[in-house]
Amino acid sequence: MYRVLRNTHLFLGIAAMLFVLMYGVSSVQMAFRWFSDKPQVTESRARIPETLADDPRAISRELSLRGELSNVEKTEAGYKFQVHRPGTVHEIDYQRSPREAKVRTETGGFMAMLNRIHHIAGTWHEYSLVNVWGVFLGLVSGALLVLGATGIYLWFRIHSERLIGALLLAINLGICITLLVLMRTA
Amino acid sequence: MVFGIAGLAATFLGGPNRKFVSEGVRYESFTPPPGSSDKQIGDAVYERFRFPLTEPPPSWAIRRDAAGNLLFDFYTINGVHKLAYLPREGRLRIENIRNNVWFFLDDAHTMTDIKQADWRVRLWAWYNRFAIWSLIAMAITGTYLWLASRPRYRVAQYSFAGGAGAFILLYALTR
Repeated sequence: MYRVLRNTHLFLGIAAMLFVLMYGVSSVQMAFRWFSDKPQVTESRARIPETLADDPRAISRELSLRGELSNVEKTEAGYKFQVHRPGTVHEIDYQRSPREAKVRTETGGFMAMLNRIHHIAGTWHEYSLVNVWGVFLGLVSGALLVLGATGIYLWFRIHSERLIGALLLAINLGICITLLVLMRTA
Repeated sequence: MVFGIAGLAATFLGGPNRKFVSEGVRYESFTPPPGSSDKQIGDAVYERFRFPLTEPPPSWAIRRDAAGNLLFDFYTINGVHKLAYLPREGRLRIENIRNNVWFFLDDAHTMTDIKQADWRVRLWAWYNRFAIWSLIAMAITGTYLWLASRPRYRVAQYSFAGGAGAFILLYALTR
């Protein structure tokens, strides 16, 4: 039993290492507002062929914009919409006459990418790559629970460290559970 | 543990699957002092109810709808208190939406701002900050312990390569 749980802890821990670091570093960025990262902005214009359907999805495909379609707004002149994926947001202003699309693209740096990946969840997204992230991040969330449980078991098997470990665990659980109960019942 | 539960809650119950369950709507008569600004009305409503774990609504969170009703939401990790002052009827519309325990934990894991009016949330934010550093430390020391103890263990090497490879590949493809 000990060997199985020790290996499970090891395999899960090192497989999830970069994902867990991503969560940790992006949390530091959000909590302490460090690493301010202004996005790079580029603007372009493109002609939309007459033969193309007058539709935001078709237009974004024509412009080779990767990501999820959102904030679609029908205007008198055409459409305004966004296509976004983690770290990149395209804002498109399409006008029927002339058939032209203005594209404003904001590209975030490394920290912006980590921030947006941190917020991905689930597999209901239109952009399949985000769904793949969603699967991995769901697995990592489950792995965190297993790592916590197996970590406590592995510590408990080290007899020489039981006292200090029990003390730290009791303080930790005492603070955590007390605060959660106090907030939940407020 | 809380971080893991938050991730699973967002994965399986979040997005379009998230259901907001109202505890019902009630009305109470309310007349603000004459000449009150929207912000002053918001503050008066806050003083009247003092919902737990909330703060007076900032100006940007107070808005009017097309009918001229004044709307303000008080968000907490337990849910949201949605209030509307209906000036023509001289009363307040109050709707409480309570998070289930999974979204309570999901919202709790985002609480890192230590400038909180409520001491419980403030202490939780400190605890959360400590937990973030602990998470980073566990990822780094865990990897060190592997490298220091069994670096040639094949299955561990494959695990590391698989996890790190998946992350780097996904990152590159998304970029």
